[in-house]
Amino acid sequence: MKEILALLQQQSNQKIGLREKRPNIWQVIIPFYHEDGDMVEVFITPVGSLYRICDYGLTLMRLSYSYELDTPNKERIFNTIISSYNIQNEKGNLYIDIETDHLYPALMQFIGTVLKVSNMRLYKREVIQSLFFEMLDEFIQTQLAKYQPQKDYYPLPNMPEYKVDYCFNHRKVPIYLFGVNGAATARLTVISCQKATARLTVISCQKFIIEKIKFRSMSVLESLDCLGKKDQSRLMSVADKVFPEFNEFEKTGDEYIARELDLLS
Amino acid sequence: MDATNIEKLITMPKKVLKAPPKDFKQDNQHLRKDFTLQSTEGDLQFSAFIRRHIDFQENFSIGLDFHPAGEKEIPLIRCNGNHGEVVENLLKPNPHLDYHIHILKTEDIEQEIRKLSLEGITKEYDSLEKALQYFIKRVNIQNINDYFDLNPMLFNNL
Repeated sequence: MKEILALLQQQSNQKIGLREKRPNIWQVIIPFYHEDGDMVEVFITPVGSLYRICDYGLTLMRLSYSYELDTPNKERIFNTIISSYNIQNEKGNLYIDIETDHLYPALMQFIGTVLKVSNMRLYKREVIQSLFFEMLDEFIQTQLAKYQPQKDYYPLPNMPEYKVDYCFNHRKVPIYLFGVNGAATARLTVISCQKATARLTVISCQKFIIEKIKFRSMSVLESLDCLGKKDQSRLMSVADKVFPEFNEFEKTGDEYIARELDLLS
Repeated sequence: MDATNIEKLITMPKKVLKAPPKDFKQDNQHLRKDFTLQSTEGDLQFSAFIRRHIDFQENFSIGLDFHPAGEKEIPLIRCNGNHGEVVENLLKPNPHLDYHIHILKTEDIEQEIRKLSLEGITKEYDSLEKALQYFIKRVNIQNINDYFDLNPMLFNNL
């Protein structure tokens, strides 16, 4: 173990340096790299009796090559990442002011945070989309609770593959709500709606559909750019109403449902 | 996709499809401009971006992404400024400090992580305006003069 420790201490001693980027602004040379080989850009500059570890906005500039912080969900995740590590954000400049005694651990934490932010584009599917459904559920269960929404509703009892995310069904004609955060869910929504619509043309099911599956449908998109144009077109051709952004649903969803239920009642 | 196909995508003739805004837009601590491209044959879709730090003029990047129909975009090339050290091998780093180019390599495609690798340092440019001229020539944008005034004086006013 001592041998390993000695190796690590020896190698780490040789692997850190400073380069003067501008007067009084020192770029840290340290072997933390982005996946393309670029070194993580971190700077140290004196601020009074403290040192400021910062990135001068270069982390968000880099992120913008392939990813935009253009939705409340994304901003929320970004803010959660940086605040979890006590990193401040001043017009895109990420920084932390630290006493001299704690410079090294703060530097390590800062670099870790920069790498997490830089990899936000990889969170898109796993985190941000799941957050969309969490936020949609929270909104519906609180702000739209008065409509008695039923979560995970199956209009066709023997066909569990055709699920409706939420059903506002206390009136004669229910409103089915589908959350859509990507092409896969859009296709599922299309399939579900098309399946129900298709059933309208099937004589053997006509009575069942008329009596049980009369509905209005609306889709809430996490954001319009979560779908390609073809998927947007497919979705819009079958859904009665599409909210192109979750924000828009938050603003006008309540009013829309009230109006629809009033018309349908 | 092999190296030949990657190079073909980078160099095939393209035209500007959606005009970039005349002025650079400030976003946090950098300036940005984005525009879309289409191949002159086959109607393949691409997008390009320009970024430059407000204070550190050597920190810039000009990139080209390929947008295959119905799929996520694939970055193809980025021309970077002299922003700091860059290495080819993350585990056995041999750092360079210079203007450099990142490019999509076959192994990047195989890993399906949509990253770029270091193509190498370059002496083709030493400023944003020269990098843009190099980029336009390399990715073969044919009607660029309709949309960009490549007069270096304009860049000095950024």
